[in-house]
Amino acid sequence: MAAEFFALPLPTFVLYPFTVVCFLLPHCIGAQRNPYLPADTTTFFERLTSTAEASVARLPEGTDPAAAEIYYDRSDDLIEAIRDSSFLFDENFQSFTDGIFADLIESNGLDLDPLVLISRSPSVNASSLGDGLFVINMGLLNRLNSADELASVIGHELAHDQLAHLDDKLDYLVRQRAGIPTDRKSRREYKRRLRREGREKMMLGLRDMIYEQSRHSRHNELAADSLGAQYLAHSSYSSAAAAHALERLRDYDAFVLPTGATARMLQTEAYPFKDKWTQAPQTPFGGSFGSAEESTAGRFWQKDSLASHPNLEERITLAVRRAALPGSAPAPAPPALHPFVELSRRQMVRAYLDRGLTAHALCLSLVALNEREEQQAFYVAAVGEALLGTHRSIQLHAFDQRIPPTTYFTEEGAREMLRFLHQIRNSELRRLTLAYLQESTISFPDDAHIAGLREQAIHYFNTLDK
Amino acid sequence: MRLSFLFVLLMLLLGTHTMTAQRSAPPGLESTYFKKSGPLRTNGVISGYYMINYHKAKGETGYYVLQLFDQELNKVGEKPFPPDEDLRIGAVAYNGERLGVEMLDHAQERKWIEIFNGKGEFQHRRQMTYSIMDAPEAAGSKALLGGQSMVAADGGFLHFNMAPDGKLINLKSYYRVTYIPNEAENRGWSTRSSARSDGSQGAIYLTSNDSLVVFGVYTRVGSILTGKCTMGVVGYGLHSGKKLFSYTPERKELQTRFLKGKVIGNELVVVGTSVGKSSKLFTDHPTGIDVIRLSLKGKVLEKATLSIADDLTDYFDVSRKGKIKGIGNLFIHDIGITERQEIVIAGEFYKVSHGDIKAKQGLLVHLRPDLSVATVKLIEKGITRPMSTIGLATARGPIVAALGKMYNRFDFAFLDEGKELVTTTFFSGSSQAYESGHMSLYVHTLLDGELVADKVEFTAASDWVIVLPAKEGYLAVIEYNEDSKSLDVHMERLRL
Repeated sequence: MAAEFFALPLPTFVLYPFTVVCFLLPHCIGAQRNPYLPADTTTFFERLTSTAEASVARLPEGTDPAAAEIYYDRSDDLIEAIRDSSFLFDENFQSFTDGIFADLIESNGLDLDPLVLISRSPSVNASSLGDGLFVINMGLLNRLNSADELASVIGHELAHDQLAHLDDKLDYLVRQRAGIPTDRKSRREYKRRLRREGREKMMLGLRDMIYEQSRHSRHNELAADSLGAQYLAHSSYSSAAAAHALERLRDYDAFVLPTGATARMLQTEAYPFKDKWTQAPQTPFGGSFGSAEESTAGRFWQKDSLASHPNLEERITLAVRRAALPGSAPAPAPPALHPFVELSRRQMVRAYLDRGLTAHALCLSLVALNEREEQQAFYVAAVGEALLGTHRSIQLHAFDQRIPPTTYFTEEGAREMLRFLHQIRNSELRRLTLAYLQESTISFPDDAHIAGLREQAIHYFNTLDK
Repeated sequence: MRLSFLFVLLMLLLGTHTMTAQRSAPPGLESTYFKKSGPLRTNGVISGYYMINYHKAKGETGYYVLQLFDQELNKVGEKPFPPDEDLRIGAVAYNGERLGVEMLDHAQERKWIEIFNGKGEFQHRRQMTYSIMDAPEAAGSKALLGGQSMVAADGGFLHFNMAPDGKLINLKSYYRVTYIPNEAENRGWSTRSSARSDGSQGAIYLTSNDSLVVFGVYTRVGSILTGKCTMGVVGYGLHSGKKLFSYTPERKELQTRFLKGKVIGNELVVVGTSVGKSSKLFTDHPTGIDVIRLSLKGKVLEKATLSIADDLTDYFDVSRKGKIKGIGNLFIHDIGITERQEIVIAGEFYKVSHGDIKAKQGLLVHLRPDLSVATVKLIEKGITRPMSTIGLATARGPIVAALGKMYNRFDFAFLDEGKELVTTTFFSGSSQAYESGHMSLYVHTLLDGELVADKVEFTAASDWVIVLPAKEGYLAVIEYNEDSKSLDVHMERLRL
């Protein structure tokens, strides 16, 4: 009943104050600092540019001019990505990661003033871009939940930097750059190739290029592990953490949801959850017929850490061996959790929502809500936002670009959640969203975000009706 | 490669590779038979798709590969057939346990059904009578009559065959309906036209459930080209093969060309186009739509007619003969019935020009269970102009229209009855696609008593696009790239 009430068009006098609130809201938010931009963008961007200039200046004479372009592009792209809100500039996060870098640098007597960027990417990875530039992903901060484990990864990236491994890749990057279409003629040829070879082949080529770009040679990875372990051994962090961290990267899956959790957590009184939304569909012969080949559709991307670090098993074995060497610091028992595990998960949910990947945001939010008995306003709001965002994506015919296929996640509970998004009708999703937000406002009467979200949903649906 | 692009992709590494989330491009395709590929229906629900591909290397004998896909167009597996230049695949059906494939060998004049299990292993075969009507040259006649040659049924497959008594097509022909069970040891049953029948007869599948099959039987009077026929409805026990009922209007009564049926509870609802007393069942200007409710013993419970001349005058200027003035002829493509006995009629206006079809506006009529008109929608989808004469400049309108349908000259894509809804789809006319560079699909879905409109757009760059019905609330789109000989198959979600 409640949902039907909200579906009624709102009279103008109700809409007017809402419009005013909508207009003023960004200005009010604007009063606070945007967490996705540096406090002083000019200085920050100047530093990135000067880092590029310094890198170019130290190139030996006779180097291909394209190498210089690579460094300039690096800073330009970082600036562009910062402007696109791809990084987080939060003082607490920054001082935490900077602190680990500082500890390792100081205890090993290195001469380095690192510039550490915290990417909002949920992929579990970190990277060294050379010349003291580092990127730590939010996914890594969430997955490696002790400072020791994080220090082991940071030590590894620090070693890549100190061993100047980027220089080893420069030739490859220059060659690759030559293959990228820049002018109109080349772009036309690129399009012709796309047409000739087909999209799938081109996508595979692109994927392999990205993997190749983000990966160091096997020899360099082992060298970075070795030096990173020494950095760790000279610091106060546990040497045993390196093996733990690598094991956690290997076994990573963020989208693990118990079976039935979707139905339980999206249950509302006003619009009860329907079993048919999560029912497994009929599939010819249960999904396997004749000379069936395993579909690669769901495995297009490898897990990120494995993609850029393929020889993980060997590295774990070596890390365990190193930790047992005399003089290695003992592992703290149990490892102290760092305080940004939960905050980084929230940032990941936010990043997914901002990118329109509502299925991922919904799954992570349901995982969080399932972990704790008491309701958490942030994740409840995220669930509401994800439901609303999914409805929008259907309206815009963008569903297939934002919601992955039902077999995309590995775990059955997460697949069940995807089936729900695939099988619920948009008209049903509308009623469920309104019912969920209505009941959430009752559960969290003081939460302005949830209340605002509900207003936004009502306005959106009313606009659709018009 | 610019890093920002890399970052965007890395962002999605644990997400989804954008634009391709529900897309797939099946590899290893050399030649795909679009017209013979389609959805697999099990218990009235689309459970997946099949595609028929033909592989032929230079100097080697070609062979078919039958690929199966799930509801989301993910590949489930494939079955290669032995190399044989003369082998053709006629129809494919899946009944939840077995896959039935109708195969033809025109050179040896043979036709048979092969049954396969989930491993693609051959189970058994059933020989069918091959006739001149199976020859590719007779495709036009078969298109005019309509119907499917094989459908999945509970525990087996139903096959509809038609063959002349003699060698020539003009002679009296007969039908044979065969139920082929999944297991070889169960012989099933078959029934054929009465030898005492006055004229040629044919059978068209209308509906079935787990105990009953209903088909329409038409009896031709005179030459096939006159289109003069009477048509009745016959019900058989699906497993017993016993005739349960039949209903045929008397010759002096108003005649109906039955197109669809549905068993709802203890009743059977059959619908078709009304042709008055003229007996020209295959006409290009039906006078209305007939809906007949029968008991499962064949007793007529209710018969109602929607007259185009009388009931659609609020929407069109209709002549007394039922022709809609100024628009053109109306070709009724399909009729759908819901569980609530609501009816959706999908038609398309056309003109015959230079022996080809000029497809104009689409038409949808939504009827309430009492046959009152709920909605009439003219779909301004653009015009598809005649491409070239199809060798039938002297042929009459209905024949050209039937052939036009066979050669995809109309913009109508499909009408699909789901469990709870009926979906209809029209392509935008070729002129619109040419002007805009976009291809549009005009989709209307009958849901909860209302026709919900939607429009799906994509670039008209593909060499071929076919649209197939899909699971509730979706369309399956298959785009073909001639250069790479590859398919881009994807699902489009509707705003339901």
